[in-house]
Amino acid sequence: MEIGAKLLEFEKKLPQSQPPSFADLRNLFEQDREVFFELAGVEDKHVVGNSLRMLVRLARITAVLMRDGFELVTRSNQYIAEGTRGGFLPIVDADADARLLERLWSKSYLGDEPRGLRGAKGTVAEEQFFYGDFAWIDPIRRMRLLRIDPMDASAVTNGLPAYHRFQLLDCAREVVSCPLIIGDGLRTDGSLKKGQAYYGRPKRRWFNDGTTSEPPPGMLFAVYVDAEGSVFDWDWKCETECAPTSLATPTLPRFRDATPDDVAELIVGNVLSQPSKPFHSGHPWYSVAGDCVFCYFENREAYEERVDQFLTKYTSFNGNECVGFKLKYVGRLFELVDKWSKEEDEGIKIHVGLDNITLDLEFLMRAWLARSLPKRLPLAAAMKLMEKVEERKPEKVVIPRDAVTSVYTS
Amino acid sequence: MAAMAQLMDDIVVDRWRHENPFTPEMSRATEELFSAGSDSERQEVLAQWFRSTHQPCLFARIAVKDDRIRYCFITDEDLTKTDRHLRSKIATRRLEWHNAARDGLADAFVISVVSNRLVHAEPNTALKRVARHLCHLYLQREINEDVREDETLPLKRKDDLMWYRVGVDYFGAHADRRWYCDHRIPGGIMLTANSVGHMAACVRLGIVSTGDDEPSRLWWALRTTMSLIDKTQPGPTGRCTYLQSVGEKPASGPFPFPDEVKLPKSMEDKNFEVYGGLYHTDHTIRSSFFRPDSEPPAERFADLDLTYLYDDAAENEDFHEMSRGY
Repeated sequence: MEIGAKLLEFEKKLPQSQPPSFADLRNLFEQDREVFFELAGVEDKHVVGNSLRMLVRLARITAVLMRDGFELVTRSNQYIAEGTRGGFLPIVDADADARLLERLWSKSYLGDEPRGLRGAKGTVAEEQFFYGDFAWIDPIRRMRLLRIDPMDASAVTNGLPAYHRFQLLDCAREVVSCPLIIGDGLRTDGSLKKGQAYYGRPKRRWFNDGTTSEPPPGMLFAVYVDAEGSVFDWDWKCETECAPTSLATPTLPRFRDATPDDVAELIVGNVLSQPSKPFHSGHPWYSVAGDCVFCYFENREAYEERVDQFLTKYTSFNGNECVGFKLKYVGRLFELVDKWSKEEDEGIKIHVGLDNITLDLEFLMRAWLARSLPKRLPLAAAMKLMEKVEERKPEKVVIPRDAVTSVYTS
Repeated sequence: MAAMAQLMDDIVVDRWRHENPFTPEMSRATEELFSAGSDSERQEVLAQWFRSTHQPCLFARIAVKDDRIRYCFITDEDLTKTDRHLRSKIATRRLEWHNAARDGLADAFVISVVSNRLVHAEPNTALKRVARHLCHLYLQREINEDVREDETLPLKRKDDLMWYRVGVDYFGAHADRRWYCDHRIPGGIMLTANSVGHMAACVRLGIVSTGDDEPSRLWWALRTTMSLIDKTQPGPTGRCTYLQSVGEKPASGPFPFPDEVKLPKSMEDKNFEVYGGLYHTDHTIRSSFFRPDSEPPAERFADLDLTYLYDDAAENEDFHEMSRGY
């Protein structure tokens, strides 16, 4: 059987609810070593679909670690094998996975069967796996390791709609591993000026009850990352909103086709290890990495729609209703709120504590409105949203003091 | 696990050395290593050491003569850096060694830590931790003492890729004038991996010339190994390794050499299956080397194996893994 057919056969055995992991690669090693060794060097034409692409990529990272040496470390509550010259391999089972890496390094697996006695020799694939010269080696050494900022990890498990967690663990990891489009520059200033958006088409879409369906037609899944590699947002959005062919504007990322250099690994150990709490309506979550506030009023699956550079609203798949929003440039909006609060007539109060600053979400919304005046047609939906905020009276926003200070100083 | 830079902080000066100064040849070679300005100069100093009679290993002499050793030098400056730096440096050189081995151009790897602190280090638990950690950085796994630690070396033969298991050995400056003086090395400490099986295969393939007219099979390797053991220089407390006569240690099997192979007269009555030693020659980090005094341990090893070089019985794994190749 040729390698393409063998891979398709193996793909059927891969898990259907999460991206393939090093544990799957380990199973392959135990089942069919020849295919395991062939995987890293397989020509791209034989690799069909994201699952196989991710598995091939894990095999290639392993091959690079076998050249450069590696160290087992923990990042964001997850084990990874980190190559001495770059390259990151997320570890699932610290004992079994580390053992396989050790066996590959020393080739002690050769002792599992007396191949010398049977006349079997090292194979071409095995030789290529350990010593071959491939174009993908250097891009793997340069790959990025992405993680979830602890504050955002806390939001995911403490009251955001459950589908966010499912899509982070599955879709977001798949998209950063198999991106189609990259958006460079998430904000016009500050640290997110060098942030990136990954857009891709994962195999599944998730519902709050843990079930899945086909991905929504005409949509891509977006993952937003700051310059330091912290993922702070992920959602479905219309494909037309991130087309590389669209005209560049100062307030939108610069969209381009993804290259092998863009491929990354996302580790989610600090989310996996936390139990999820029920949905918490009207609770605003501040993200340090994204300098933004998220708020959901309804526990319904939604996609994102950009209103303007400050505001993104979440529209339900079912019923096309606004069920939440994301307010960006919080640092900049906060400057305005802070200024207002010093003028007593405005009636705006903020509480500055030792560690946190607390204020009404409504005040930030008013600052957004002031920034976005004069009113334009696209703001109509957002104005409705503002009415909703005023009516529902969401909880206060809590922003770490040093986060706002860093925004001021950046 | 503590990093190398931390482990180095526990190293103490070897007070025993005050009463037992380094031999002139060790002092000279160490000085040359420290005054060397580049790795190629350091390599030349070590090559000279391997060529000299101070160093008993005949395989090393053959290897250095044909440029079959690949070196990784770690300096005092490297030791102040991160483990990641050390791992990377060792892995890069190791990969170069494997690639050369694949083409039949190298069989031996030397990781030489040229460090003033290690030259004068007392052989104690702290130095043993440094040695084990160095071995860990090289072999990427937890390292135990008094066991064989090994890895595997490739050799491309026509369309086949053969693998040879190769054991790792430890040497140190502290061995000079101590009972295990055959494991002394100038400059600090050293790990070596030297595949006799790989070299023997290259001899059979005609890649390496031994100056010997009998390159077939592994008789050359066995004869060389026995000569090496037979000719070791006695240390302060006698020979570290020694052949045993068949009178005192009878062989269990027939004489393995074919009729046309003649052993030197001095070895004709020697046991060709096992030999004796004050330490276990297969072990990598020997706990007996890391004691501040110079008293050899009471334990002797009378059954150190030679059959890994020639006995192709199915159950003799060492022959198949180390000598014949996978």
